This record gives sequence, C-alpha cells and structure tokens, in this order.
Amino acid sequence: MKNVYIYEGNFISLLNTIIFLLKNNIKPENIKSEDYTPTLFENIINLSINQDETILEKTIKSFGLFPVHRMYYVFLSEEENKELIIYYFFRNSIKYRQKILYYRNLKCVSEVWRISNYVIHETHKMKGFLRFKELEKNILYAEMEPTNDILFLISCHFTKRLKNEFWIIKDNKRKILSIYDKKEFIIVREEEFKLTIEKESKHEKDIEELWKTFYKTIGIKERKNERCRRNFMPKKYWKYIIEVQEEI
Amino acid sequence: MEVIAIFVTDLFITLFQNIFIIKPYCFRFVKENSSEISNNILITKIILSLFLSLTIPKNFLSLDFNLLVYGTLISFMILIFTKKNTESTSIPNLSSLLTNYNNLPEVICKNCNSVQDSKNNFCTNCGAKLESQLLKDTTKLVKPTDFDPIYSNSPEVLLEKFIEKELINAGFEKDKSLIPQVIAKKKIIFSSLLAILISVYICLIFFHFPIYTYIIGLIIIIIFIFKTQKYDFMTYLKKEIKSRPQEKISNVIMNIKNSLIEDKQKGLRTTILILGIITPLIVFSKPRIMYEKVSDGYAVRFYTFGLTNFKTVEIPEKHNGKPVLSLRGNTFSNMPFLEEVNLPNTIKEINTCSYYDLLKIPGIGVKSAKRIINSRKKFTIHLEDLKRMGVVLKRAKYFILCNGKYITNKEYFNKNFIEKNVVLEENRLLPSNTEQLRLF
Repeated sequence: MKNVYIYEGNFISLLNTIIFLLKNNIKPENIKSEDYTPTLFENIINLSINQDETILEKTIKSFGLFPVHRMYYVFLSEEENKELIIYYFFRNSIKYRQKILYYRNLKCVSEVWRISNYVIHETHKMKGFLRFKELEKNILYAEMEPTNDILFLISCHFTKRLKNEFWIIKDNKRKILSIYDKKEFIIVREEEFKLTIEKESKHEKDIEELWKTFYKTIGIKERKNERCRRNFMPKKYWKYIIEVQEEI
Repeated sequence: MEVIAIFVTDLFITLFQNIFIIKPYCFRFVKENSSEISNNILITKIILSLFLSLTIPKNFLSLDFNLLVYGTLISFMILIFTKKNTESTSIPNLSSLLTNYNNLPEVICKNCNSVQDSKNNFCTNCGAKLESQLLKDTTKLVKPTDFDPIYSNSPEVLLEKFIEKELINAGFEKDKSLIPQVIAKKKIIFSSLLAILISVYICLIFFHFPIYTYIIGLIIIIIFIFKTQKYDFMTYLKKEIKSRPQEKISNVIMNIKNSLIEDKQKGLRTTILILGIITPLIVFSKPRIMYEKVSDGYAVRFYTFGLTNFKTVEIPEKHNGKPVLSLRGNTFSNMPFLEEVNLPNTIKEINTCSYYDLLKIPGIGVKSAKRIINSRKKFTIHLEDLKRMGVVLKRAKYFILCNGKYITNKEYFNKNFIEKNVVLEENRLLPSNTEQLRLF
C-alpha cells in the first residue's frame, strides 16, 4: 500500500505539509491535492495541521527570494509529480541555502529549472496572445486556455499595463476569473461570479474587422513560412485569437 | 550569530578588565585572599555578560569599551602614586606578655562589693563567680604567623621560600648560570621540538588550507611554549623534594648542588630555533608545484607560492616527459595576491578547462559553458550531469575528457587508427607513409 499525503491545494498549505513531514522524518511516496481520486493500492492520509500564514516569509528569509519563486512556478505547472519535486528541492535547499540552483547534478534541481522555465515562457507568450473585447460600460473581456495555471502571473502584468481600465480575464480550462477594478484584482471561481452584461459595444465589430484586414494586408505572400509561424504561435492557442480563428 | 559575537567581545573585555584593572587593585589594597576575590569578580562578570548579551542592545557594548579605555588610564595613574602598605606583622615580645601577667588589675565582686585578686575564679567572701581578665588573655591562640610572616602564605609558596633560604645557606649564587644535567638535556629536546613545530607552521603558510588550520597550529605552539617555560630550576627542586619526603631539605639541595653544570648550551638552542625558522623559508623561496599521477600524465595537486613571486602563476606543459592534464582541487583558492594564471594548452579537462576553451568544443554553446563554470565550483562534474546542463553529447563526446576519462574508445585518438579508417572519394585508403596536411 502506498501512503499518499494530502494538502489543501494552496502553496502555503503545501509548504506546511512539507515542513511537517521533514520534522517527523517521514519519507512520502506521494503528495497530492484535495481533489485527487486514489487508485486501489493507495492509502490516503489527511494531515490536519494548523496553517501557518507566516511560512512564506520564513522560507524567503532562509533560502532567499529566487529559489522560492522557482518553487512557486513549479507549483503552478501541471506536472504529474510536481509536489514530490518541490519536496526534494525543499529538502536539499536546507543544506545548500541560496546556492541550491547551481547544483544541476541533482535531479530535482534540473527538473525545477526545466518546469519553471516552461511556465515562464508560457506566460511570456500569453501576454502577446491575449485578445480583449469591449463590452458595454467600458469593460474589457478576454478568454484563454493555457496548459499551466498562469492566470495570477498574467493578471499581475495587466495591472500595470492596463491601469485605467476595468478588465476581466477568464481561464476556460480551470473555470476561474480574475476581475480588476482600477485598484487591485481578485481571482474567483465561475460559480461565485456571473457576468450580467454579455452584449458587445457598438464599435466592437468594426474594430475587429479592421484588425483582420490589417493582418491580411501586412503579410507578404512570397515570404510565407508555415512551420516558422507555428513555432512562434502554437496551434493550441489559435482558438481565442481573432485573426487566425477562421484558419482552423 | 549576533548574540555569540556580542558575547565573545564582551568576554574579551571582561578578561582585559580583570588582568589590567581588578587584579592589580586587589593586590594593592586587599590584604588577604586577593586572588580569590578577583576570580570571584571575573566569574560573576562572565555570567552577567552571558545574561546581558541575550537581552541588552548593541550600544551598551561601545559604552563598556569606552569606560574600559579611560578606566585603565586613570587606574594606572592611581596605582603608580600609591604605595603598598607593607605592614610586616611584628613579632610580639615574650617579656611584654610576662609584664602583663604580673601587673594584673583587681576585680570587684558584684554580690558583696569586696575587692578580689584576678587570679581567683570565685569570690572568697560569698562564692559567686567572677569575670576575670586572665581567662580572656590565656585563651588567646598563638598562630605560626606570630613567629614568622612566611607562614601566612600558601604551602606551595612556603616551600619555595624554604628552598630559597636553604639555597642561601648552601652558598648558591644566582648570577652564575648553573643547571643540573637533567634539565640541560630536557631543554635541548624541548627547543628542538619547538623548532620543528615552527618550521612546520611556516611551511603551512605557503600551502593554502582553510584558515582554521592555521589558528589551531598557532594555539598548539603557544600551549607548547607556555608548558615548557613552566619547567624551571625551582620546579625541578620541588619535584625532587616531594619525591623524597623522608630526607631533609638541606641534604637534598646539597646533593643537587654537587651535580650542577655550567650552562654552555644557550647558543646551541638559539641556533636550533633560527634554523627551524630559516629552513622552510629557503625551501619555499621559489614557487613549487606538487604533482599527482593520473592516467597518461600528471595533475597539479598543490601550488605553493614562493617569497619571490606570489602574483603570477605559471604551470609548465610537461613534467617528467608526460603532459600536465589537469588541476585538482582548489589549487589557487587561498592566494590573496594572485593576479595572473598562465595555463598550458594541454589541459582540456571539463572540470578545469577555461571558458574560452570550452566555447571551442562543438556541442557546447555560451549558455551551457556558463552553466558548467558556475556549477563546477560547487561539485565535480560527471558525465551524467553534462546532459542535464544542456550539452549536446552527440557532437561533444569526441573532444571531452571528463573526470580523467574519455567517453569514447581511446583508440580513436591514435594517428594510425585514423589514417586506416579515412576513406577517400575513390574508395582508396591513404598510403601509410604520407602525412595529413594541417589546416591551421
């Protein structure tokens, strides 16, 4: 029987469980979030620990900012054993402190580099691929479907980029929304929040057509390179990009 | 860490205070148990400082330090101008005691008011008890210090003073440097040991070990000097006397005095010490390299910087006819004045190769070269790690020597093997005598 330890689904609760396991010298075979359905030969253990809110500050104070950032990026990804990778990374960084990321011979460190880079690169791409519509009452609305859970990172970017607008970004894969009211953004589930306004504004369709014609005319027919284009703009994102929607 | 640092500095200050202020004051002004009092003050101060270093802010330390500096100045001024009150306890005369005994005062009985002799314990009239002065006088104890002030000292010091007396009686002169034979032998052994220790310590300076090894070496030398200086003529005499408790002190001293020799070896000892200092300096006057054997060549294990040249390093291409392949360990880690290192071209090990040589290898780009340089400070790179760094092993494996091992078969690098397997366009092997042209 395998022992599977369960945490609440937060980054903070994950850190708390890892510290609890390290203090009691338990070597976990797997760590999963709450909504995990176990197989036949797995034994679920639910640890009821007090959630220490100051744990983030403590870890940053002891390991430095950079490794903790990397751990958070891994947590946002959809890797299968991401919790175990974070566990081993945490255990090694007690020994090496801030210099842990230089130890690429350890498997957990090289995995952390690979996964966190994947998450960062996807956020960078998503900043370009997001297309906003204008609804009534000057609200901007956008949808996306990324592989990793990068809604938080993207909305951090757009608080600076679109400071004087009301905007809403929706993640269709996880069904989460982030809402901005010119001061700060909140991330809520779809059940908790319902959009009452669904009508587009008057000029929206004209602007869309303008954009499409611009896209068509700017391209040079002789220089067309489909493979290079798909390298920079993968096909999985095309669903929500206006100018290439028709090509699918 | 901060708490420990504060505590250590505070401890240093307390020791300093104790040696230069409290102890001299105690010896000057307190008659008895002066050393005990000073020790008690030291212990209480250390406990207090341990307690204070946990609680009190850092500014307190600077105040304490300032007080100490001014305090030492003032206390030395006071100590110079005051003189020690040397009250030699005078020997009471027996005759004065006797006169006291003769001229006894008369006592009046409280019951019947009759005058009585103070010799009587009881009244002759009524039989009541008398409070006579004589009883008080007779209960006065006679201490050994009443006869001679020597006895006030501790037994160790007493023995020394006895020995000094006996030495004067035996006609021993301190000015002539006379030493028993046993001590003369031991002194030479000790001084030669000290010379060896010092020469080893100076040799250590040229190698580059971590700093704590030097600190431990210094402590060992200081303890050795402290222990050997205690071994004196006086301690030797004490030991002899304690080993033969049945004989008289004067007899023992006379026996020893007959076996004394003149101290002629003072010059020898100093020469041994100077030799111990000079020999390592001569040996390491020029920089020296220590090699280690690896497969097909040598590796540099230690580089000792000499006295003449400690800014630049030059490592030769060949040693004993075989190429120098790599540098092992942290060869130049603790050289503070290093400015320039010249490495030969034969070194191409991944763990020791320079950045520009790494870039020349196909399959290693700018990013992976930087990764290799950053991470090889922390650990030695193995073959499995190279793949995780992002090196394309498919191309690079023919040019890499990793941890002293070739990845591919070693025969590939032989000239004959290459010539045999080179196939020209017309399906004809190269003739064996011809040489391949060098392109660059």
